Amino acid sequence: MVSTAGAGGGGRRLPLRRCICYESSAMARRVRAVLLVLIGALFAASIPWYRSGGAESAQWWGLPDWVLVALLCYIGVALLNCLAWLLTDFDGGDESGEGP
Amino acid sequence: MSLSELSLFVLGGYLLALVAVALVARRARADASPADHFLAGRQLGVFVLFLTLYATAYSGNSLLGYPGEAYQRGFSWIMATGFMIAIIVCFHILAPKLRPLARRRGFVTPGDWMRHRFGGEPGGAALRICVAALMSWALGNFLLAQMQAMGELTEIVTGGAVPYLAGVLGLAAVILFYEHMGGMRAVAWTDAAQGALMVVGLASLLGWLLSEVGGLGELTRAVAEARPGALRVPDSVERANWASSIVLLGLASVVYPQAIQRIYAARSGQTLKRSLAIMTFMPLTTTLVVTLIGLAAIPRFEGLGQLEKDGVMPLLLGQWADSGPIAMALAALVFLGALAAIMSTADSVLLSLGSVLAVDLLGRPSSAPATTRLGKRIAMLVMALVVALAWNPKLDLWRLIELKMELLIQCVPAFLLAIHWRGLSARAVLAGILAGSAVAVVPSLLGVTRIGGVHIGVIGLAANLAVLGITAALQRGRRAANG
Repeated sequence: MVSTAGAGGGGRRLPLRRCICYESSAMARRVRAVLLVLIGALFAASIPWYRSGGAESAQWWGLPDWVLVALLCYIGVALLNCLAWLLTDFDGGDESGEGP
Repeated sequence: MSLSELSLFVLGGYLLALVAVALVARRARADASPADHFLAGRQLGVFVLFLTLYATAYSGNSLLGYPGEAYQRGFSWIMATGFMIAIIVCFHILAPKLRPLARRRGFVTPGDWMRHRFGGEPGGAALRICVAALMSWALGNFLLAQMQAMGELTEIVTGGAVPYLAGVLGLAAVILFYEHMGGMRAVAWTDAAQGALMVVGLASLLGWLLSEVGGLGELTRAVAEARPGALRVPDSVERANWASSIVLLGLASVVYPQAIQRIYAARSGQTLKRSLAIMTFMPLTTTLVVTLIGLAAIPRFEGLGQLEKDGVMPLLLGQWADSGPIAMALAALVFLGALAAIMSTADSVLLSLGSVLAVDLLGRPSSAPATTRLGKRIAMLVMALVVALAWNPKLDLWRLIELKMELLIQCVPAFLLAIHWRGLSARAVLAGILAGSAVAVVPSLLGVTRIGGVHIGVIGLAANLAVLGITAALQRGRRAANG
């Protein structure tokens, strides 16, 4: 058994397994929040704000440079978003709720 | 045998297969309840759920409209890959909270959520009807775009053997049949086959196009030669439109009734999250591919008009088919994949529309078998109306999507905000929706669709949120004054 109030005691005592689950799901929520912030940043970076409009573009890997940057951002978003979905907790698992 | 003849043959076989699927789905149904008809008894597993989400999200707009836009706008249409991924990102705001609630309360339609959240409040019923009306309008618009795309594609690829109107009428009849017989189960099963066809067909077409020009670098050089402006960095208006498209498509697509109903229809939360995790990669294998296909059309068919650009894909298929018998067979496969994608979206939209009109707008109970029958009859009426409107296509496919999204995005606060903000009242949401819709619709009627590149629907959403915030603050102030 583990106390939820730390060394001072006085808190509710939870079974160790439930406590580990709680800790890992809290950690997953934090990681997911960070991932979603990174995804937002990648979306912002995908738009070529950093270049002046109408400028000529160099070719990188067969694509205009700003297109390649956008594409890499979107690949990054897809990877992070996939991870974020795998870390998503549907409010503690919906199968425990009563059926329709 | 020509491509037209082969396509007719393939199409005939495919339609027969759909009829068979409908009959099998009919036998698999558990009862006549709306949950069984509209949500397949809430038993969709990862594979079918993923493919039905995929086939529903990628429609005639994606396969005909997006190559047309890439053809017209050039490389800046890479934004489409971004906004399609944004949809799966935006589901994070809604799905994790809505799914468990829907399971516990037995939701069938989006209006069931509205009833649960705002039902007892003053203005709750008006808000539900307002949201249902906006959703129905948007879905009707979407269905019209699909029927238009079906007719165009069938006419072009069969070389006029199946004229536009015959294509619209015949395919509408087949969709009505399998949806009527098998409901969501038939729709999801056919979606699964349609999704697989689409991936294989598109990958084959892109492979041919790249091998024809000699790779991606050569394709870019050919585009630069034919139209140098297609490679230039977008100007500030185009960049604002890029950001606006991510917001518009990302947020509005999450409140698609058919998307919300797939959240309800998943077998479990695990099933749903795995399906969405896979879905996040699909824009890279589909939207990016159709964008490259549209770009590859620039050196081939320079000078197409506003409405003709939606015919870029069928024109490419015709050229591909001329290059040999294997290419012809693959071109017929792409045609079938594209048609399948359009049909899969149309059937999902029609199914949702039947349930939204019967339950949310007309207020029928979402658990009574009579509601299922009413939903089916409404679907028939709607299809008849849409076919009549599709008689004379006047708008290009991308504009039809924008119109739909501009209204649908006004419903966002009723779902995405209300699910997180417990104190939000029905009246505040309703005031916001009315203001936002007015801001979005009035300029659209006057022919103004964007301001500085930003969609009028996104500006409407800003007005919507501002009015909602002010109304909520005034209500809080009044409550505090009353003690």
